Amino acid sequence: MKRYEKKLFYYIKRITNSSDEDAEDLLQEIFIRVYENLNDFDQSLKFSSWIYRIAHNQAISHYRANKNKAKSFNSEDAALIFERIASDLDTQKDLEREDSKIKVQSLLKQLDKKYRDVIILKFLEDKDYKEISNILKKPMGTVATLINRAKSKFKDILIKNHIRYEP
Amino acid sequence: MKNISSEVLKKIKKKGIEPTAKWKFLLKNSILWGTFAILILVGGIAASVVIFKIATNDWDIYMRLGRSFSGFLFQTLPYLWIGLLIVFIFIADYNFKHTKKGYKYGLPTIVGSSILISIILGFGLYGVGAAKYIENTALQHFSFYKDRVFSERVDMWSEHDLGLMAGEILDLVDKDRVRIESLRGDEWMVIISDIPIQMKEQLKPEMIVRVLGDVIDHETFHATEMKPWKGNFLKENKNHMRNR
Repeated sequence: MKRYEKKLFYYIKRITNSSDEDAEDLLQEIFIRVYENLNDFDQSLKFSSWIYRIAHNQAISHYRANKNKAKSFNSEDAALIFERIASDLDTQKDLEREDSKIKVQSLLKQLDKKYRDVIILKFLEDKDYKEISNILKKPMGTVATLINRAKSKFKDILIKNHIRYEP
Repeated sequence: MKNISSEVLKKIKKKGIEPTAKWKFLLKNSILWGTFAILILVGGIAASVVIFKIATNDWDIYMRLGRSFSGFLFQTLPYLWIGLLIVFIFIADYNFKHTKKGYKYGLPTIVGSSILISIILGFGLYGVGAAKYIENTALQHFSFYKDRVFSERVDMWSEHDLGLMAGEILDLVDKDRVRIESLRGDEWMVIISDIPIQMKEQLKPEMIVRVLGDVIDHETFHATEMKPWKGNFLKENKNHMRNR
């Protein structure tokens, strides 16, 4: 539990946008669910993929039940996403000014949930395609498509909003 | 941040939470796979009847009816069975998606594989005669099927003025004439002097035949071609037609 406590805590916060207290409660539920489902663990998966999957599903159920729409990223996450996507797109980046950070943060809100899920796992949780596929229970091809589309939408948003983007 | 681990352990002890038994997961997975197998089998059965219906369709007469090949094809495709096949393939795919590793495959792969398996299975079932038996059973037990699917074909073969006739051979009068009771229940003297000799040799009483030719008068029909009835035919269907 110790090993995943922090990682999952931040992951939950990222996908549900909940308070620390709510995220802690949800994390407890997730660990209990993991314990209950230990005998269902698929040996062909990484344990981390399996536990992230449970966390994702549990967080989504919680998110639906509470209608707590996760829309925004915090400014650090937004900056990190910008930096990583920009580096992935092989671009120069300019996020020195605070107002640019805030702008990117609000721009990320424009992305659909399906893109947010993959962006969080790819650029904030450092998961590879196979792990994302196992966590979200989507085919690898779909994951790759979603990431590519998310990057290209992100690029479009940057251009539209005149944020420095130099391929 | 609270000490989550100890909180969780306390909760587990307090509520006496236990891991769910392995057999329950195995049972759930087996049910999913079993249902998938049954759905694919049903899809295969539907595919076999589609193949049977296409194979026994009256491809030799569409021109007589003044229709194009494609027009005839679209008119006579077994939509009911094709619909059933599609429905079962989609339910099977939905089911497969919920198996443990089903998510790894994209929809086109799953749908494509299911269609392929159903068609292969369909050819197998058709080859062993299961399709004919299944359609026959459907004709006997489902009146809507009999009325809709079978009657359409019977109606088509009752278009005597278009040179189409089908019915049961009552007796072989002589080498050039047979008596036939048509699907409508009328008796016809059919002149068979112009049909191929090989066909003439096969004719026998109680045989159900399809006849192509021309009406000579209200009780005489001149056959240019005579072929055995293709597909299922039930005597009771004939009586049913007579009562229509």
